Amino acid sequence: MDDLRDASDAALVVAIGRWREDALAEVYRRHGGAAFALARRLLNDREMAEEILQEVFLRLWNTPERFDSERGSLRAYLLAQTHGRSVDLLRSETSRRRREEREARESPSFGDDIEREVIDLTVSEKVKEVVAALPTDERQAIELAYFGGHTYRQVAVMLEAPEGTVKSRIRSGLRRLRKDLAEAGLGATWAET
Amino acid sequence: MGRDLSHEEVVGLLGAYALDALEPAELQTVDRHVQRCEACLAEVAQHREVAGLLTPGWAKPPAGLWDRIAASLEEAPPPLDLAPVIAMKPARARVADKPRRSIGMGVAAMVAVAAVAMIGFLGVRVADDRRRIDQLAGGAHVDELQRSANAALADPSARKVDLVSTDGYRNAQAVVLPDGTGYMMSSNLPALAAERTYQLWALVGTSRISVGVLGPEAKVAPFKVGRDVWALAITDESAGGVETTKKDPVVLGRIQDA
Repeated sequence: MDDLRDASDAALVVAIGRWREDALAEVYRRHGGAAFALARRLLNDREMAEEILQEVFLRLWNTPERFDSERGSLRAYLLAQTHGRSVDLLRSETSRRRREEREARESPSFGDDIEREVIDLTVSEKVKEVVAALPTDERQAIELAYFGGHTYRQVAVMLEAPEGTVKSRIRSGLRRLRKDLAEAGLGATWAET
Repeated sequence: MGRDLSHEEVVGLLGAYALDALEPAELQTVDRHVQRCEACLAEVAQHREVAGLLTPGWAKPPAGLWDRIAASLEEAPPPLDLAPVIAMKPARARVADKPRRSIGMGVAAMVAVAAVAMIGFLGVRVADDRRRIDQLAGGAHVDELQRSANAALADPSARKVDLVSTDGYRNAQAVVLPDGTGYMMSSNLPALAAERTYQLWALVGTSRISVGVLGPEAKVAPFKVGRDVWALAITDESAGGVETTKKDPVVLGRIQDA
């Protein structure tokens, strides 16, 4: 693997398993920005987002075998790790205090305009179009859960909707997104269920 | 949520599960189901792919953070291709019986001999390994062996090993119990010609120690390793196996935490 820039993500992870630090650096170059953006979006705290990113990449370095290339992309794996750790931190008391202190000093950005926030966060025009075409109730449920870090019960309270309805909207919205994104040429190789 | 959920109930929660949006009380129950349900696992992976596409991909990672990450990697061992290869020795042989090695090889050799001495029922000569495994795989012991391997796989204290090839296309799975007993499980390694064999190696520090000759087909096979083994590898060797190897592994994988 002389030129890591041409290596597949799966090959990079195998190289990480062989203690190739340059392979980890290449993974960081490819996906570190997205992981950081997600953590910062959730935590609204640059310092905590950096801590999460460091933890996620150290975890990949120490246990690369946890990534299964047959289960999905490395990007999705790293973002799921980032999201899970960020949500854990977000829901912890320490984080809550820090966040409340920060929000007391600054105007909160999330929640002012959820649709604008999501449009800002989407990757491409195609993704924007697909997200925008999603039924509003499904889109709101996904946004609040994924980018807000809320549980579906919290989302139900926020949207004044039954819990069962919200969990159904999250799943149906994700399934609809998958189908629409595949039709738009994104993620077309995913296995059909 | 103390009770188990039905498959249908779990399926209804998979979207929220994939987005980390379950209540803590539900998380454990759903997680337990998902980890043993192939269909649910696949759906969760798809939801996470979708969620990943919603996150901006153009952002630059923060400057200076990589340096901090890289600085924390210092404890990693040196690359494997610098590792000396340790010969496999008969179990009954004592360290004092061995020819003297260079100082650099001495400690590693003692580790190797100690590890080999643990092999016990497998026998330790390469030929014995192969004969024993062939007998187990080809005879009436197969069912018992498979049951033992399955039981080990289901043991929550067992450590799993996913061995993969450089290109990611070949893989094999193994499991190691706390007492060092291990089992090669499934693999998609192609059958070799009769004059070739797969050979299993334990990686101890930077040393490679043979723990079994698997034959031309990598079937279910038992093995034994010491506590300090951190990875397993399989090489393609001449029939009968070799005492040392400098070949690149066909597949390689770290032993995961239980």
